[in-house]
Amino acid sequence: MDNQLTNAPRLKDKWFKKQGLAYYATGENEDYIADEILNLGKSEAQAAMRAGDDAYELLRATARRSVYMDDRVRGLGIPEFAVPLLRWSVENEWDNFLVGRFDFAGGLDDLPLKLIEFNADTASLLAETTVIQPEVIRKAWLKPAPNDLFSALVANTRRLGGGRKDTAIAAVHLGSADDSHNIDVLIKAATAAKWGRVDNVTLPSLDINPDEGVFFEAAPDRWIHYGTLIKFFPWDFAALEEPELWEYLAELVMAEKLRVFNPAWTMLLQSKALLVYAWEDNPGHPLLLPTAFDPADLPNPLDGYVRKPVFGRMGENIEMVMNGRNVVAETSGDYGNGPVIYQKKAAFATDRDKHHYQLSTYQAPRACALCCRRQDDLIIDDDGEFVSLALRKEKVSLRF
Amino acid sequence: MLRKHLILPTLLSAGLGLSLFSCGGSDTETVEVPTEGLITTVQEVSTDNYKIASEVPVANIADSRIIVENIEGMRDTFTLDEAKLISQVTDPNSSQGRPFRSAGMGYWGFLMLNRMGGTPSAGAYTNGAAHQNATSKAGSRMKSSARSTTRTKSGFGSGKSTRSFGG
Repeated sequence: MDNQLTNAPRLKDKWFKKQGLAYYATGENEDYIADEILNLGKSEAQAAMRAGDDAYELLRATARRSVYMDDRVRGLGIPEFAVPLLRWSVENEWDNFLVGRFDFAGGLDDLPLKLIEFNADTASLLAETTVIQPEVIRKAWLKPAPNDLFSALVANTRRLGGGRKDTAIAAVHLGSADDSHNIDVLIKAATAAKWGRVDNVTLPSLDINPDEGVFFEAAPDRWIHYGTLIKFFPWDFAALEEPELWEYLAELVMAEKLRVFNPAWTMLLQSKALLVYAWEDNPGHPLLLPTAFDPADLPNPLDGYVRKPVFGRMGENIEMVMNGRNVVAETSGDYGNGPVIYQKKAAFATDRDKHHYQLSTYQAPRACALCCRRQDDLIIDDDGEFVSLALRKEKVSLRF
Repeated sequence: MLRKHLILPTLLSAGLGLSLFSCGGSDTETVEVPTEGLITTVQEVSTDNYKIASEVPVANIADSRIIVENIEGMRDTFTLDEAKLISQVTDPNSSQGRPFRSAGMGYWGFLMLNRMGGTPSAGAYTNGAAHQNATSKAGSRMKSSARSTTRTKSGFGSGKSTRSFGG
C-alpha cells in the first residue's frame, strides 16, 4: 500500500484558526492530521461505500428483530427500563436517522473489508471530513475520494424536518471541545436545511421536565423551549450513567413533545453485542467478523481475537489476544466495568511505518463519504491520525 | 404548576429579541422523592432466594449501602450507585441480580427509583418482625423526609469530565 501514499500539504495554522478548527492542529493534536494522503483505487472506494450500505441494512435488520427478544436485549447490555422507549423508537421513528459512521478493517491491499463497529449514535470526525479533508485534497491538486458528507447531511436534515415552529433546536454536548466541533457541523447542516434557530448548549445547562419539555434559562426567568435535540451525548450514557435523564427523555419522546437525533433505537446498533447477533443471524457473511460473548464460541479462537466492551468508545479497554493466551495489545480507559464481546482479529492494511489503516463510511442514511484513520499500533484509539483520502489517477493504456 | 416565560425562538432568530409570552403548564405531575438513605441487609435464606433482614435509615442518600449476606454468612457491601449499575447490566433473575431485585422489594426500591411508593409487602422480609421494624423506623422516616418535586431537573451530566464521547 506504500505506493498509494503521497505527501500531504501542511495546512497553515492561520487556515485552521480561520475555520475555527485550531483545536485539530495545535497542542496535543499538532500531528493529528497525517502528513500523507491515501490514494484509493476507484474499485476500493466503491467497495467501501457498498459495504457501508450493506452493513447498514444488515445491522438494522438484526436490531429490529433483537429489540423484541428479551434475552438479546439483556445481551446488548440494555437495562430493562430502557426497553419501552427503544421499542417505541423502532416503531415510530425508524427512518429518523441523521448520521452514523462504520469503521472497517481491510478494503486495501486486497484485504477483505470487515466491519469493526458502527458509531451509530455520536459519530465523530465530522469537521475533519467535511472541512479539513477537502482542503488537504484541494491543495494537493488531487481528485477527492467520495465525500458528499456535508451535502448529504443537509439533504438528510431537510428530509427529517426540525419540528415545531414555536420551539428552538438544541445541539447538546457535555462540554468536550471535540464534541462541540462535531456538533457545530450538524448545526451548520441544520441551519442550511432551514431548521430555524439552533443553539450549541451543554447538557448540564438545560432544565428538563418530563411533562413540559427541555428549557434553557437565557436570562433570569426568560426561557427558551427546545422541541428538538441534536445530541452529542450517547443514549447509552443516559441509560447507564444518568437513568433519570433517560426516563425524562423517554417520557417526552414517547409523548411526542420532543424529537431527538439520532433517535433512541440507535443505541441498539451502538452496542457491539449487536455484532454477535448479526453474526448469529448471518453466519459466514463476508462483511462480518465472527463475534461471540465467549472466545470459545469463535470458530478459530487461536487465530486471535479482540475483547471489547459492549458500550466502549475511542478504542478504550480493548484487549487483543493471540494463540488463546498472549495479550499482544491492550488499552486502558473508562469502560472496563460493563459486559464485553470477543471479535475475531481482523487484518488491517499496514504501511512501511507499521501504520494500520481503518477506512470508514458515513451513512446519512445512505453511504455518502469515506474517511480514514491510521495508527502505528495494533489498536486504533484516540491517538490515531486522520488521513485524507484521494482517488488514485487510473492508468489509461493507449493502444494504437 | 410550572410557569415559564418563554422566548419565542422564531422572533429571536428574526432579530426581534425578547418578545415574550407566558405558558402555564396545568397538569405537571408532582412526585415524592426520598431525601434520606438506608442501609439494607439482604440474607440468602435458601439458594438464590434473598429476603430483607433489616433496613436502617441514614441521613444521606450517598451513605446508603446494601449488604448481601449469602447462605454461608459471607457478606458483601455495595453502594447505591453500584447497586444501580448491577441492576442495569445483569439479568434480575441471575444469581448476581437476585439479591438486588429482592432488596428492591423493600424501601431500598424507593432509593433505586428515586421515587416514593406504597408500603412494601411483608413477604419481602425474612420475618414479620423485620417487616414491622423496617416499616416503623426506616419507612416512616423516609416518608416524613420525602420531598415533593415538580420533576424539573438540570445539571444532567455535570459530574462528568469534558472528555469526548466521539466514536
